[in-house]
Amino acid sequence: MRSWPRVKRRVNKPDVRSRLVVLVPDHLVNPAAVATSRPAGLGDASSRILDVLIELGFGLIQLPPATLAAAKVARAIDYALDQLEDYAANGYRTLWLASGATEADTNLGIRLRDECVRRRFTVLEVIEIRMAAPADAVRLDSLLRAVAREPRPAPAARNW
Amino acid sequence: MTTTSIAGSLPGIALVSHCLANQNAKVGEYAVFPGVSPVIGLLRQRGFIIQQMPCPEMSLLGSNRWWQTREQYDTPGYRRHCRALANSVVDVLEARLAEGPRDVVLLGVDGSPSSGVTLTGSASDPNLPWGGRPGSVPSHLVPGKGVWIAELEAVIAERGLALPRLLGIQMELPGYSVEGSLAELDAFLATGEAPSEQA
Repeated sequence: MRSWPRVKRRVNKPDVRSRLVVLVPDHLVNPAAVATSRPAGLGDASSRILDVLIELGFGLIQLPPATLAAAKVARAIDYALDQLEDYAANGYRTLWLASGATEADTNLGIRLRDECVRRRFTVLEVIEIRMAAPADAVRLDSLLRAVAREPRPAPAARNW
Repeated sequence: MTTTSIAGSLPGIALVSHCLANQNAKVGEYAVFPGVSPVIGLLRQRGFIIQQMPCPEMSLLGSNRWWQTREQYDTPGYRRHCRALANSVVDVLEARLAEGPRDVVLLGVDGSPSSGVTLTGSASDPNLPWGGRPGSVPSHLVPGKGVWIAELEAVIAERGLALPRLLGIQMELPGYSVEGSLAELDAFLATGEAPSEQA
């Protein structure tokens, strides 16, 4: 094994995080996966949306496949919202790219909305993914770029 | 887009540490990229199914957490938290593996007290452990796994799945370069084979 005697971790000043976090469906990250019930009609659109999110500096929080059993989805939703709530409370911008093109996606979305209501987590911005026409992709692209351009609150001063 | 998945086999699955797809989860001063690291791009190119895992530090202590050493995270309560998250990860992994055997890789972050694979962060002086009033206390890297990776492996084994192949992405280590790290990852991914059956 390579030896690392008394080597410190590397810190990165300034920290370059975007403070932009987006909750995304599994099929957006894995458009070719069998188990993810990719909505019909999305085609390569999922990959293009992911390309744009990466280019614009969004950090991703990936939802589980919509076809997963309800109890297991609930746990994953809990963990995702735990993190998003904290981001929102600390001035990060939080979005959800919601997919409702299949029944499973719709059901997952309903559970996620219900959990947001139960938590009184109201600041999660929801953007519905609609890809019925080429103009939909253009609209989504423009919207994401507009979000990324908007100024975000500066991080609080640190005392470390 | 090119893929290197083995002919006739299902694409591999990459369990990725949360921050590799979301640098906003990093503890302060450790975000190297604005959002998604280039690791994700390479996994997409190589045709891997990407499964981002929750961040145990972020989900417990939030985005304003302090730097900590492995010793500070190595508590029964934190391990319990990690095990709960790990079971959620394995729920999804099991569903994906139900389609057939696949090469499964686990990508951690070397140097991290939670997600380190071959190196983790430790207090430099055992007589001067981290704790109490925050301040500058020396730490260094030691061989070993972070608490999260160790618990995740334990849960995967307990649920009867084969252990994934492990690689620690070295973005928190001195001398990190994107090109070198991606070359190492690419070579690692290429060495995998889909197992004939899961354990």
